[in-house]
Amino acid sequence: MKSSPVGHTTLAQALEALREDLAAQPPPPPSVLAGARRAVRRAGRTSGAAVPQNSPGSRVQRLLGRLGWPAGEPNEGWGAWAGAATLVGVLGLSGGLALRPVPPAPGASPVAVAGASGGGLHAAAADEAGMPAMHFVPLVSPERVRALADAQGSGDAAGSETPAWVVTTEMPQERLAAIGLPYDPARAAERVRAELLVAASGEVLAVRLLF
Amino acid sequence: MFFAPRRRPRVQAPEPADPGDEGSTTRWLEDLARGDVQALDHLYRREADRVYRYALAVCGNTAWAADATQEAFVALATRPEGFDPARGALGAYLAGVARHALSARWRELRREGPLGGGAEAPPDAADAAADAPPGADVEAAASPETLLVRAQEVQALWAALRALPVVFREAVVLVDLQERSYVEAAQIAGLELNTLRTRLHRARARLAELLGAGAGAPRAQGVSK
Repeated sequence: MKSSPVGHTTLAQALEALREDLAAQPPPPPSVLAGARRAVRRAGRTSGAAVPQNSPGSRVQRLLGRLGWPAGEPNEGWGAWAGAATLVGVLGLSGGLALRPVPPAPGASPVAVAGASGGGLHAAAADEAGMPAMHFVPLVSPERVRALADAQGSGDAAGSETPAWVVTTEMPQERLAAIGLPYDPARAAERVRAELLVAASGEVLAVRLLF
Repeated sequence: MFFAPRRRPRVQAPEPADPGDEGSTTRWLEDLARGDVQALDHLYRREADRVYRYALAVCGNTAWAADATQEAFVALATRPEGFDPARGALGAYLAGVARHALSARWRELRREGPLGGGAEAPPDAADAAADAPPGADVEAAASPETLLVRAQEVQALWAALRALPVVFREAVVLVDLQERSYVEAAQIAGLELNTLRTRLHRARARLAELLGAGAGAPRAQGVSK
């Protein structure tokens, strides 16, 4: 007789033990159900049998299908509308989050960078009421400004560039020298109001003085 | 070493599908055919465990068993018309698809050569034992030593079962471990009823020989089980 792995156990006892051990095994991993669900969605998208061909939902489903987006339950045409609304909402939300810049300082307002032209930047920020202002004087290279303007113009929300912000501030006149502007040494200590065009990264792109 | 039978209550056989359950199955299948994912969830919750454990007991590999189970449900999801209620229960159909998937995998391995092993040499039995959740069947009063001995015993039993040829092993798993009826087991295995009974008889004899316990084999069960 061969050596027994379990001594003098009976077959009935052995089967009982195996039966209990098998019943105690964990269920299949969640990936099994997930894979089957994907198959259902794929099948629903490709068959489309229960969706009226001319229903608005079917058109949205086809559009979502071309985008590779799960079209939802094909038996409910309006389910696709819900999917489309969700898609738009998600895109809008993600776009908004991506475009949200670093929280600006108090008094800051966003501007659209229009690019470098005529040696200066044109910012769309509202001027202080009744305050005459000069154009923005760029403090970075024209290429940098163009890149920023292009990124903004193309709506590259996911890109590294984000809108610039205008920050109103005051600074000593002597600082004008640092940015290449003339100033009166006799009034060097006096402060002037200025607006800084600041990128989300904190880089100062341009400045203009308010008189 | 003496294998002590456990005191836990005998695992209940799966409850037969009552008429209301059958009706809901039909409804879920109709919904599934229309692409309703929730219908799949219902069917999965009801059937997946048995399909998975059948595959696991036969092949001894959790990854293979999971793949086979998934293939079964994917087949149901993509070709629900493939299941004919007149030919048997849904669980039997799913187990049959899983069996087909496992067979295909073994055939592939056989073609791949020595590294793959053969149809009669599925993954090591230790895999299943190692994958078993530690303490899954812990009884409160059991000492660590008792638990260790018991785990080793069960592991040895699985090893003995997997020493059987696949066709014999499958019969034991379906009838003795999962307590399916002969009819359902034959359907899953794709056998005539008498062939299944013959295989089961021979499988039990071989297993008893391996265990060194010729006596105490379960009595033959009726076809109407």
